[in-house]
Amino acid sequence: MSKLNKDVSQKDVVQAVVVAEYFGNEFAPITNDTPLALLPLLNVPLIEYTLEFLSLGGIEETFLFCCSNVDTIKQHIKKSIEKSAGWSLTMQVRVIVSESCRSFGDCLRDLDAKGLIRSDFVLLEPGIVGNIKLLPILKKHVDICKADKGAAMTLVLQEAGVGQKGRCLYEELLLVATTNYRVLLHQKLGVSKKRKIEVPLEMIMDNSSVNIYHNLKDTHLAICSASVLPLFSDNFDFQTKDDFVRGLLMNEEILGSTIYWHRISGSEYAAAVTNWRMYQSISRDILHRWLYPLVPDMGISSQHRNYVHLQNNIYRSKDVHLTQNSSLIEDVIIGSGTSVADKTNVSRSIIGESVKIGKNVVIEDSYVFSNTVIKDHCDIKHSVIGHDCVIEPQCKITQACILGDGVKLHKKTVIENELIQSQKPKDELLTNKLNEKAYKLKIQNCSTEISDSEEDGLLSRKLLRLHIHEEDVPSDDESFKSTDSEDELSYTTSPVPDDTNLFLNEVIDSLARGFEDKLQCDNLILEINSSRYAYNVTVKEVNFNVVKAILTLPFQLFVGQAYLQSLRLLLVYFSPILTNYLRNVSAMGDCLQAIEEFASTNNELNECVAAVLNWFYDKDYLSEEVILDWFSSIDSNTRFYARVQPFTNWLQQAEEASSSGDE
Amino acid sequence: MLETELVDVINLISDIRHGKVYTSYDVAIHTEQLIEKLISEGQWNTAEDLMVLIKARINRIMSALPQESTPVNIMRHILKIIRELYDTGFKYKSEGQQSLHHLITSNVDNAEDYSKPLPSLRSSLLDHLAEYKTGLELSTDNIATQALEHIHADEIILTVGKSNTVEKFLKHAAEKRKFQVIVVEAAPLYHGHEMAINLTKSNIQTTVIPDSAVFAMMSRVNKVIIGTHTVMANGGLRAACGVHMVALAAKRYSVPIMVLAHMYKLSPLHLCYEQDAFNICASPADVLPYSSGPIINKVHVYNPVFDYVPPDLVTLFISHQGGNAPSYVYRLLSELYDPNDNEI
Amino acid sequence: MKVAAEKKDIKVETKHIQKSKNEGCELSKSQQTRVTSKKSNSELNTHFITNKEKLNTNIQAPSSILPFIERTKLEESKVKVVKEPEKACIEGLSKAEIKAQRRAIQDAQRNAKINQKSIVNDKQPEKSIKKVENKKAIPLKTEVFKTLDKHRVSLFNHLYFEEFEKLQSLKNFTICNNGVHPVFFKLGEEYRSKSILGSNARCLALLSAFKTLVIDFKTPPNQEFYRSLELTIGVCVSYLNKCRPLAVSMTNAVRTIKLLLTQSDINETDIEKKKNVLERIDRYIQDDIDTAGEAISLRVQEKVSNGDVILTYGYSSLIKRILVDAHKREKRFKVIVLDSRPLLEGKEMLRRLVCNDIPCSYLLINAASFVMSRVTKVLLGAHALLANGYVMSRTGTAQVALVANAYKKPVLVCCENYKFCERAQTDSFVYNEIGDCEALATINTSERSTELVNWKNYKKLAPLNLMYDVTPSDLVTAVVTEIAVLPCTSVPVILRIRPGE
Repeated sequence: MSKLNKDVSQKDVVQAVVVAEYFGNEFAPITNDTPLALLPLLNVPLIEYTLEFLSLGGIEETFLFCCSNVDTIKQHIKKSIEKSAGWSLTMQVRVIVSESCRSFGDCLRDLDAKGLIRSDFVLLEPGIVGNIKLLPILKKHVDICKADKGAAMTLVLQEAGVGQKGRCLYEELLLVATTNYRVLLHQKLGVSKKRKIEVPLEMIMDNSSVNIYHNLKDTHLAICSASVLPLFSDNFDFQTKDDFVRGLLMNEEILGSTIYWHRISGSEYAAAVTNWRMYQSISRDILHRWLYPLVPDMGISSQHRNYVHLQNNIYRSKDVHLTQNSSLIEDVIIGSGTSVADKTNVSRSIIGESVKIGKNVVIEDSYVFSNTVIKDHCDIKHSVIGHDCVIEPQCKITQACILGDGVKLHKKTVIENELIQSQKPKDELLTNKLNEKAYKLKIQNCSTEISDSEEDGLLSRKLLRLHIHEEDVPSDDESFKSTDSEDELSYTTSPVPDDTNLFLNEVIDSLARGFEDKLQCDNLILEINSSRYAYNVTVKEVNFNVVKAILTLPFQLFVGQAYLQSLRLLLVYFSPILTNYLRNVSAMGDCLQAIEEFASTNNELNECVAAVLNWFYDKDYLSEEVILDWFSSIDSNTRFYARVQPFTNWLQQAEEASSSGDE
Repeated sequence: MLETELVDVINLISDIRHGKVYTSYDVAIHTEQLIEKLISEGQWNTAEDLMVLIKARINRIMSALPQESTPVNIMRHILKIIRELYDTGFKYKSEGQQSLHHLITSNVDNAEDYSKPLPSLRSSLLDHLAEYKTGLELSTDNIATQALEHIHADEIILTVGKSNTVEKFLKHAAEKRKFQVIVVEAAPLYHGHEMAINLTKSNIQTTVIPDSAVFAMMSRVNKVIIGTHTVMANGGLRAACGVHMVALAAKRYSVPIMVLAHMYKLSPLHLCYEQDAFNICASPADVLPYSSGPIINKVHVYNPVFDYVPPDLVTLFISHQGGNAPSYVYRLLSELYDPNDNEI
Repeated sequence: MKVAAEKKDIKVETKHIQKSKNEGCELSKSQQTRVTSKKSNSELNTHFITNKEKLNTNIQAPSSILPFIERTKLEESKVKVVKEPEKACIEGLSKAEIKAQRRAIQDAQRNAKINQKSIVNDKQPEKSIKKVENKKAIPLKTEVFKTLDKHRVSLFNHLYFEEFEKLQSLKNFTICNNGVHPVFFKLGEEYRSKSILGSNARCLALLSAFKTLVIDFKTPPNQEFYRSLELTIGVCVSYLNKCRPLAVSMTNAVRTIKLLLTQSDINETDIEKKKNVLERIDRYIQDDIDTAGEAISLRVQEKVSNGDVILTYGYSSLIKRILVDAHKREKRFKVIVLDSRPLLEGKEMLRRLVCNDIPCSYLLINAASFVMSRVTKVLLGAHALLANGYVMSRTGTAQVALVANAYKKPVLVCCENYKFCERAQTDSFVYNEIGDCEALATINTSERSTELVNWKNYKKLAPLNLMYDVTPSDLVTAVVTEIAVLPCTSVPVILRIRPGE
């Protein structure tokens, strides 16, 4: 039967399925009234990008899956077809309504029930923009299917370096695949708190060669065989595409299906608007023309061109009123009918159509939708302002504020990191009312799972709705930024670590694992000793590095917690190890050296060094003489010296006291 | 004008955008077919009706594909043919002979009336179009046959990127004479590589150089032969990015630059010198790959497609009618287009 | 392949060298293999393959922007040098490779010492060896010439010839290994593979190699220290010259050092002499390169004002220094970096400038006219300043200057005094260098494939990769040196006042 199907599919039209519904409230309050599909991206509804992309990619029939706001979307599609949008000429769009669906998986199950899909198809999650030629990938998928009957899906991924804004932090991806592009492991790392990845040994044993990738970003685009829909129907727990991929890879034998992947290259680009950060980075990428030919000056789907592309990536509509003194600095798009008054600076921002901007306004890294009025002396940074808003003079809107449609802000309002909507929410307290046209919304934690641990707080700060300048966000990966700024970006050019460093890393890894898995300390000692021989380090170095490793661990295991507390916990746990290594005077010296060296580079330890020394002393790991000896050798001008001094003073006093007591 | 009536041109635009119709020759042929169909099947009675129909299409293409001048130029030329046929049909002018005097006087009284029905117009138009079409089809060959007039033995010729016309031109010359070609690779599209391979297959001694070595090589080059995207009304060029640089180098060493241009590449439009206004930038991916890491966040990367070459850098245009200096372009334009159609 | 190897001796030889170039093989390594029979050659090849197989669990790190060429290439070479495949686990690599290197260097050092003695003791045999080599080389020459001729541009035949000579004599060098310090083998390979690129970098590398040489140098019996050192330097430099033609900066540095060797006082102990020489080399680095750069940087900074848009081309360590210094002085300007294939040095420039938070744009050289209208100043580096006032620099520089001139923008060429050259040259043909043609056929900006990959199949096709071009003096507004800001035509004046000439 499958063979027959395939023969037919050769003549079939090429189909795509777009799930237009975003099952989440990431974009509230903007998406309260408008569906995500119609969210303006560079002043053009998002869905237009998706459809035009599909049409240019060679798709002939598209099923648009909607659950809510169906009428608005239908109306929009109808209007576009009337205006003979680019895609409407070569592609048929069918809107499918299913209001009962609650997830991406439901949509696909519903689609399966309807039996509309006849062959391989392109599956798009909501909010995708791109400029990929789809037909070659489809063909590749068909070829794969011929070789591997179980091939269910080809994931489309794009290469992107770590630290690139186009990589969504939620979706940091680790992929293990064979050389013929069969996916073995597909793991999204972003939200998981796990700091390690386990790759089953069989994966490497069973395949002659395996590639491990961490340089990819998900485009949320996949080529599916017809078997995908029944698989969704059979497995009711598949809610998202990621569930599907995970489930399939886990039960490869049972389901008899495999997944492949394809890397897009060259001038091809694709990404999905999944949150504000991605919205921000995609807007920027389009302004920088990565989505060419889908760029504002060439019209997205319309055949009329509104924008002119000027230097510094400024896109200006033909009827914009700019005064002589206003300046557009870089990466700006200004829609038609907008006016900008004197001494106003706009940079890295999107300004919609018919927006009125007053004098002395500063707009940076912000998104202002159509028909909004911004009066004089306002400051808008890193924020989104919906349609039809009115911002009275001297307002300050900064730090990732999102204003819904129709919000009015009074004079001199200052807001930071708020969600504001114009209608009164049903179950909100009155204290959140700014005025009758502006209500604060409770800020929901960005990650779906609400957790109160410190680590999550950090993560969510890092994953603030909009990307704010690096210097504004205290990042916890300072250690990656080397002080020599020249090397900041050259992460591939780090010097080759010497053996001792490798050894240290090994020890840290062993101890961290030992602590997490509650392994016996004896086993850990064995492990350390064996790595000692592997790296050929001296006893002295072993002592030094073991202590150093323990001192380092709190930063790995207990991020953001009080250092001393966690260190104490670790020290107690690892005391058998310490007993094993700190046996004699010279070992004690090594230990002290490790503490000194670590404290000199690390503030946390520096602050509580006296307490740590005290602990070592109490537990008899360090003897009094050794400490005093060592203390006399350190530079008395350092802060470290000052920190240790009270402790040694105390020691000396105690000694004097005891010695005098003896006499 | 309703959208539905413009389906033919909308489809053409969509085909060009999808890359189904790629080379300027293909565009020309498709445009000609479109007009031919319009004339034979379209709803028009008088010359004026037809001209309105064509003008609507010109407008549509100009707004949708401002960088694509070929279809507009062809349609403009056909407008001129219509006018001429109409005039000859009513014996307004004596046998439509084109004297200079005639051209000047005919432009003065432009309040002409084209609304009278002329029954023979359709068939005579179709005849003319068929003739025009064969002209189009033979244009490349006609240009190529002139090769021997311009290339002598043992020359060193420099060309940029790939142009089908230039390729044919050089191959034609290679049948009789032995000469060397230096091909500038034209990064980031590297069409030059393909060109070099094609030339060397025809047994031409070919050297590929990167864009940066043009100045170094120019002092030994005898002639620069290039194609162009558009010839503008002042005789300047809108050519592939990098050609301006080549032209400047050639000028410095007084190397003649020959531009092979089909008639349909002549555009009656003047474009301002400001490059931003008429250039388009393609995806930066070919200049700096997207996977370059965080550096992408901070850098502006541009990948312009066109270059403007002012007319004083061009020595000669070669069309199927023969060679002309840039200063003569205005005359060619007045033969091709009616001045009333320059602004539509 | 083995059959072919037997049939066409030379071809395999050249191929092998090209291969080692590609793979960045440690030179001392490849020498050894070449000295041994061909059998071991093929063995070595299989060795590589097994290594590769073992290594197939390769981890793809996200590619950064052009990781500094030198390091990656070195690392690559390291990976491939690993001898014991069983140790080819990812961590084990660095260790094994270091050991292998160490061993190779030790071997080479031992050889060098033996050879040094042999030269010093008796110069006759060395000469005779050379003669023999020449005889050997002659018949081979013509044969190879025929096979290679088809991919050549006739205008540059004189330049290709040198390259051919280089390949041949490299082999001979490895056989007799006459007194070249192992540091120079490494350096030569780095020059040849273009791991070390740019005339300042090359000169600095050379000087530091000299320092190593001086430290390790033992005066042969019955010889004067300076004399014999001078001779050895001569041998080493001629070896380097065969790896890649010397840069003008290097020739000048060598000349200065030789000069001081001949002028020095010979009534000192060897240790004092060594100290003296090392000091002089350090002073040369300090004064003629570093301080000169600083002086130029100060001069140019005066010319940079807020709001400037500065265009630069490719990578020049001096220009980078000037721009970074100016930025640190709170000058607010933008930089446009132009770049060209096949070296794409501009990426390195871009990376360094962006790291220093200088706002940058990046374009390929063909877009020079596209940006030139908004530029206010053009800053260019130089390979050498010629006696007739022309500027020799990386190919493309002349073109950028030309476009800048067409747009009436000031062009400043920054060049330290020690790069001045007495040669006068008016075109880019007579004295130039031909780079790797293969580089033109590979596209590194995108993963696009090009038809040029198979260029060797077409006998009339010749990619040409010139390294330098010569910018006429009328295209340059001024030259900035540590002495003054001058018009190009004043170069001979500076040449005349230069001390020691």
